Amino acid sequence: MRRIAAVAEYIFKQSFRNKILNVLILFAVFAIGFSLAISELAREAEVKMVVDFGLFAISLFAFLTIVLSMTVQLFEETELKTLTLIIVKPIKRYEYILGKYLGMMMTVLMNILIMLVILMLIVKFRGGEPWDIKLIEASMYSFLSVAILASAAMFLSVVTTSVPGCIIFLISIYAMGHLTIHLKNLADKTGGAVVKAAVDLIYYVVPNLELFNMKDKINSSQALFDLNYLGLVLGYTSLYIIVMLVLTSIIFSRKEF
Amino acid sequence: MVKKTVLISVLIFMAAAACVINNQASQRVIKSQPDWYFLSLHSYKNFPQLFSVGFGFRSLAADMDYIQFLQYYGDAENSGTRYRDLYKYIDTMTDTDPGFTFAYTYGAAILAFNLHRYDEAINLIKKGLKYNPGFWKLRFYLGAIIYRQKGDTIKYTGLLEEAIKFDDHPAIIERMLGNIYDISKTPDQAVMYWVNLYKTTKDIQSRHLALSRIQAIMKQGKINDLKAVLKATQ
Repeated sequence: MRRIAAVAEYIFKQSFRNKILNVLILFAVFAIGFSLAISELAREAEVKMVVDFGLFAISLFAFLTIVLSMTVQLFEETELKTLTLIIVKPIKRYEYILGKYLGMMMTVLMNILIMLVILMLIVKFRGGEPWDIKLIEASMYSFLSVAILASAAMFLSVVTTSVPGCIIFLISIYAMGHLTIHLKNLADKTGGAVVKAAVDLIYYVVPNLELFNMKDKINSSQALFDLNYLGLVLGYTSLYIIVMLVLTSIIFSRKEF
Repeated sequence: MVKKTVLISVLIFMAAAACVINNQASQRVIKSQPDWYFLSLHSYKNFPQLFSVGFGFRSLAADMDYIQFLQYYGDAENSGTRYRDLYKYIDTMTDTDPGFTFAYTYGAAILAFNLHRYDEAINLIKKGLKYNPGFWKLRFYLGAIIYRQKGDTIKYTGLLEEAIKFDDHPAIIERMLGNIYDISKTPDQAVMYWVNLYKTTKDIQSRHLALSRIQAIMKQGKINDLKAVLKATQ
């Protein structure tokens, strides 16, 4: 456990030593601040505009944080050969995978919290309710969506080993993850057996990111903000992450460097 | 070997459980949203909407539609055609985000009370009620529009008075009510309404209008109880 924590701490600190990630955080803060300016155009719906823009920025920048962290980690591991230095140390490979994942999650969580606090301040400034539970919940759902994406990213990073390949796959998963529920719904209504089978395969393999998309339902009177739904989403997220990390560890432990 | 088999079995079990939970949660999402929330064979007709739905930012996309709608309504050139395309703008916006309840009340108020296009306003309110049955304030607006169409000023004024008690009313309602008071109430009552509006409204346009109406009524010199009005203005 201590070894996992040490790796997580190393990855977390490494993220903040990285200039690109720091610039990304600054840019995210700036983007959320920009919602204040753009909301001026939406007379009488300023608070809604700030909330929508802020939640969009949070989910987008959380995703970009994962993409960049993954890129930086992979680059260091493969090009600078830091991985060989780590695996000769008394640390099991699954511990390294788990620590790396936790470290990345800590980075994303911190980014999301910084962005959320700024968003809440802007909402307050605009005359809205900053402690609206839906706002906080929607941000946390964004964190869960990134957590599940990161587990898929970890898997891809061991399978592909090339930085561009990993990024391309990750962006594809992000797009597919949002579309999968729509495709499933469409195929169930109109598709033939082959189409249904193909869509089902994508639907079950790719993380279903629409489950976490609360930012589009924050104004809906039939929203899904209840404990029962949260339980389902948490169950799905945990199981998916565990399966992905175990598979990643198995492949990683068989690799020769 | 046994260890390996157990691990594989546990993994398969967990993956299957994740699939089952994914299905259950998806069903909750599908049931909680109107049909058109999901992409259909007709979604391609409106590409920006398709894009925003697919990538999970339809609420923000509706805000952009709202800005376009405001620009269209704010452009004096369009007054020549009596804002012919206004309904289309509101329809697109509420197609993109059906939960955007303010769009229904604001759009219907403009269509009915400013442009006297009652049928379009009623259609819009009905659309709002279809997708937001729990948003009961829309029924207020529906009632007010129908009474306005029938020319029953007392009843529709009463409903508007109820509507402005809620914080999320469109500012156009408070301005319209003031205009009705200018005609139907005494100058004392009208000026008191404008003074109260000046103090409480969050809308700059309403505040400017209230100030100009107060000044105009005062200039006319028809106020009976000037002391009470001055006290209220302090």
